[in-house]
Amino acid sequence: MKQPVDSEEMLKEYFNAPAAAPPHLVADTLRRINNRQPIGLLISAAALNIIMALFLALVLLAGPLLLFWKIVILLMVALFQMIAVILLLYRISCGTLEASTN
Amino acid sequence: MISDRQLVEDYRSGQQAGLEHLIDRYRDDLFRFCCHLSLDRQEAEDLFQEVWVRVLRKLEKYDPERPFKAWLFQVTVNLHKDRYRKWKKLRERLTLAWTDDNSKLSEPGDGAPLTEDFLLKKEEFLYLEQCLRTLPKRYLAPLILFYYEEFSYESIGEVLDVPLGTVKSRLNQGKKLLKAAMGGRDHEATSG
Repeated sequence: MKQPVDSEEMLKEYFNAPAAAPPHLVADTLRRINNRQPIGLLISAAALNIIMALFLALVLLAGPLLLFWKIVILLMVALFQMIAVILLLYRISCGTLEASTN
Repeated sequence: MISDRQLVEDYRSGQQAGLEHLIDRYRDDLFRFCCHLSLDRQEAEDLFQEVWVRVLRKLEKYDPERPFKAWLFQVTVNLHKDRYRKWKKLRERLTLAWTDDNSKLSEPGDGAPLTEDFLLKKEEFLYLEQCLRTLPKRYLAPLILFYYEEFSYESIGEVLDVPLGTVKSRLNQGKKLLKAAMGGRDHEATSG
């Protein structure tokens, strides 16, 4: 083993030794960039959606309507919400699956 | 040759080719830096990809007057710090022992000659990596940048976002610790 005195030379050599990147790295990076999901945006949209839904539910419940119709309208709103969530999850998972198969 | 600034402007104006050129231009340099920072080849590949994702997210804040490479390395150091912190927290939670046999220099190149010199050099580098792993993380990045011989003290300070005095003191301290680690292991090897 070399003596510590020679360590300066060894450090220079070690840090300046060429390290070629794997050939697939650029392609993988571009794929990762293109497949990234705007998670922050999605979370903000989901939060806004929940606030709006709660607000509408309160307005509806306080409104002059029969309880039956109030429940029907709330169920309809909930149904649309569920469809939206399913579509969103489907779209995200499709993107992820496509990325993993590539 | 198209300048980095022009390529950044091209990407900002919507041309994907500008980005591809940039990634390709800094492929080897950045990968080497990632390897040295993470001391693990697989980890370096992941870090490399994440760096570019973050670069694109922060590109609006990039000042074209600054050298792109210094900014790119700054983003890399910051991202590595974040990842290291997360990893450290996770490790503390799981209380796992750090075992790493996936050294970045553990796989020789395809056509690398297995001569005595090569094997000796490889052994030295592996030994050096072990010593580098023992260094506190704040000393590693200044040492790497210093030994690249293309960064001045000022540039290192700019990349690490620390004052000039801190760069110099961290370099001195880092070198001392590294030499002590190398000396200590030499001593162990000779006495053992």
